[in-house]
Parts: sequence; C-alpha cells; structure tokens
Amino acid sequence: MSSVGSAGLSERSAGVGAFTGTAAGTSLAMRAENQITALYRAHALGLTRLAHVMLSDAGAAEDVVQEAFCGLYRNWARLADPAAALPYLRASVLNGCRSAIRRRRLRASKAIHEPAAASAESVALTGEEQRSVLVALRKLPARQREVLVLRFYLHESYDEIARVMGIRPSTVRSTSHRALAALGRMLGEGR
Amino acid sequence: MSSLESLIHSAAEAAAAEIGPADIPPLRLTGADTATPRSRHWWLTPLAAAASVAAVLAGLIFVGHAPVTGHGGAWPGSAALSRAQARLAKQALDSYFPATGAQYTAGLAFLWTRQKILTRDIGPCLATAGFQQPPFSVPKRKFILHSAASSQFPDLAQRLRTGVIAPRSGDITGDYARAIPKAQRGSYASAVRRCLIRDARPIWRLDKVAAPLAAIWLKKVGAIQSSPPVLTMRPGVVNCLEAAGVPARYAKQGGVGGRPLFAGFFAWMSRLDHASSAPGQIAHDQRIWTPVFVTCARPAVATMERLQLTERSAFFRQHARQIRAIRRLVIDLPRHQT
Repeated sequence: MSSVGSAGLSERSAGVGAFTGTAAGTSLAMRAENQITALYRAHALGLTRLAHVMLSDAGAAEDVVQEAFCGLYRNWARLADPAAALPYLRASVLNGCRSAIRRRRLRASKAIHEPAAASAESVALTGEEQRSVLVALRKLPARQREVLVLRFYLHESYDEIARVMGIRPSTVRSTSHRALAALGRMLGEGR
Repeated sequence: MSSLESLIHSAAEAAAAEIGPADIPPLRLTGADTATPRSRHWWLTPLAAAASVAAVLAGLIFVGHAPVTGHGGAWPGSAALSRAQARLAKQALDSYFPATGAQYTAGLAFLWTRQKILTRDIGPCLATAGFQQPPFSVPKRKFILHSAASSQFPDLAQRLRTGVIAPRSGDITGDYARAIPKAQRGSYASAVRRCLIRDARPIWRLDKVAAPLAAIWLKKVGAIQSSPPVLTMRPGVVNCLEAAGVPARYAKQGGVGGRPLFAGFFAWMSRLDHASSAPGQIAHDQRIWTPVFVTCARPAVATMERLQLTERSAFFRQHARQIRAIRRLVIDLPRHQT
C-alpha cells in the first residue's frame, strides 16, 4: 500500500534541525513553532475529525494529528510554500490513519479477536443507517476510503484530493467511481 | 449529489461531530525535532502483554546472555525439586491459559524462567549468526511488575500492593527483536528458529504444543470479556469512575478493538500521562488513581474471572491430552536458575 504524497515538501534543507545551533536559527525555530501553533489552532479540530471519521477512535485520532504536526515541525524548513502546510498535514493524517489501521489489524490478528464495538456515545450519536455507511466505508481499501471521505466529507476538488494523495486527478475520479460502486454494493447487501 | 453521496456526507459529519473543540489537546512540540512523541496508548501496552505468551511462542523471542548455571542438567528426583517442578508446571499453565489476574501474574514467572533458559541455550547460537544479544539481567520481580496486563487480566491485589496501575513495559522485557533493524528481521527470525530447534529443543517442542492452544484460549477470553454478562457491568464501572472524578467523556470511552470495560479509565490515565510534564507527576497520578481503578473494577473483574475460571476448567477437560503433554514438557525442561 503506497503512502500519500509529500504535498509540498521541497528538498532545500534538512528539517527543523537546520534551525538550531545559532541565535538566528533559534529565532527561526521559534517563528516556525509559532506558525505551527497557529496552524494547530486553526486546523486541529478539522483534522482530528477527519482522523476520527477514518478510525472511529478519538484517542487514536488525536495521536495521529499530534504526530502530523510534529512531522510538520520536523520538516518545516523543507516546506517550499507555507500554503502547502494544510495539504501536507492532511496527507500526514491520512498516512497516520493507515498506519493506525494496519497496527489495529495486526493486533486483532494476534490472538485478541473481538467484534468491533462502537462506543455507547457513538451509538447514541449516530443513527443506524449512518453507522452502516461508516462500517462499509471502513471496509473499503484505504485509497478508496480516503477519496470518498475527502470528496464527500471535506468536499475537496479532484485536483486537491490528487495533490493530497499524490496521485493523478484522473485516478481520483476513477477511484471515486469504483469506491461508490463498491459502497453501494455493500450497503445493498446489508439491507 | 446522489443519495449515496449525501449518505456518506451525513455519516461522516455525524462521526466527526463526536469530536468537539474541548477534545483537542494542546499541541506538544517538545522533542518533536528528534523523535515521534510518545504514544498516549502505552496504557494499553499490557493488553498486548496478555497476548505475549502467544506472541513469544510465535517466534518473538527475547533473549540475553546472562549466565545461567546448571547448563543442560536433568531434574534430579528429590522431593524439593518435585515441588519446584510442580510449581513451574502450574506457572506454565497459568502463563498459557490465564483466567485471573493472579494467574496471569504467576504465569509471568514462567515467562521469566523461560527467557532465562532461552538466554542460556540459544544466545551463543544467535551470536554466531551475528545477533549478539544484549544482557538479560532483569530481576524477576521487576519483570513481573512491568509486564502486568491491567486491561485484560487485572491483578487487583498486585495493583493495591504496588500502587501502580500499568508501568511502562517497553524497555523492561528485553524485547531484543524490536531493536533489530527492519531489514534484518527476516534473517533474525530464521536464526531464532534454527537456534531454537538446534539448542533449545525442549522449549521448541513445548511451543509447538502450547502456542496454538494458548491462542484458542485467548480467543475464548476475548469472547467472555465482550459477552453480555461482562458488558452489563460497564455502566457500573463508568458511574464509579465518574463518581471518583474521572471526567464523563473519558469514563465513557469505548476503547480500541471493542474492549470497552476499563477503556474509560485507561483513556483518563493516558490523558493524565499526556498532560504531565514532570516524571514524578506520572507516579503521583498512579498513586492517586490506582485505588480508584481497583475499587471501580472489582465487581466487573469478579464476574469476568468467575466466567473465565469456569471456562478454563471446561477447556482443560476438553484438551486434557494436550494439557498433560504441556505439563510433561515443562517438567522435562532442563534445570534452570530461578
């Protein structure tokens, strides 16, 4: 399974580590920290919600988002355009979700086999039909799931999804088409 | 937008709405330039420890080269050693098939002994294969304490006695396999298999019999812990936690992988761990919250353990031949240092 694209990173320096060591470096590091903190204030909620849609686990979603921001901090100096920060974060969050799902599957395959149970809170908050859509969504291959969530939850354009996922817009379109068909089949079977 | 597309949107919106602005923790960038931040889920590590028997037996061998005396000796037939043999056999069965927290803890003594034997028997072979093992010199008590499984087999007496709920176990078990670079893990696994068959045949034979059965047992435990009689205890645990001061949104958390019983408590401990800045703070939080866990978990643990003990008796009857074989193989293990 490939990871999503680097979304705006250039190779011009070696990350935030390049800041440290001099007074100027320290000031740059502080500026980076401030900018990332501002980004966090603006986008942490949306990104955590995105991760939660993918993972159905609030704690894991928070971890994934924290790690994405730490990754951004480490790579801040390599970011060619600060405007690319959000696509970079989204890409990191999607990658983090994939890893979390992989780890969860690995754990589940090691002796602890349990039915996936929704929390009481989520049962109360989510209707039956919506729950079955989420369950079906999580059964899709990672790329299909990500395309559908980015397209129909975040309402991103095909071009933007392509940018975040590091694939061609035409691939996004065809993946979306296949994913909708697969989801429709799954939901049809479930009814 | 088609109806399916709107359905995706509304389902995702509903799931997203479960996260509110108050759920977002402050950003932690300290140390982010050198390492990935510590996962807040280390509280759940003992959950994996519960499966550690199966994992260890499946080939995740952690060994060191602490000197062990009595190499290769057979068990002399004295009465004292018979008691030791019986104790080791009991610990082994508790290790493979724990039904209670106390049994899980007793089983860890066997795991420690097993590790010592492996250290002695396959360390040199692995070193020849290019995998020089770090010393395994973890004291038994420390090994047992740091491998506790409070999510799945909480040993409430041990928790009360020690005042800690789930000490971090990652750096104590001497899990050498985890430190091996990814590219070498295949050859390491092959070397372990080869050395195990060549130099630790009694353990290899024991693993072959016990590992599949242990995996079946752990599935049964999982089923019991997700069964209605156990899950009906959850509101009581949640109410008790809330009454003790755990915020509702943590106390009510369902946890990862459908193990909701104590998930709220561990979510809260993870949150405290996440928020703590000084090393002493974690120990302080544990001292405060461990008795809360013991009090709130006790009725549910009693129900869980009663069901698991009944199931274990039936399981032992059903697999009597294999259980006898496991006992025999443990008793035949070469003399070890304890």
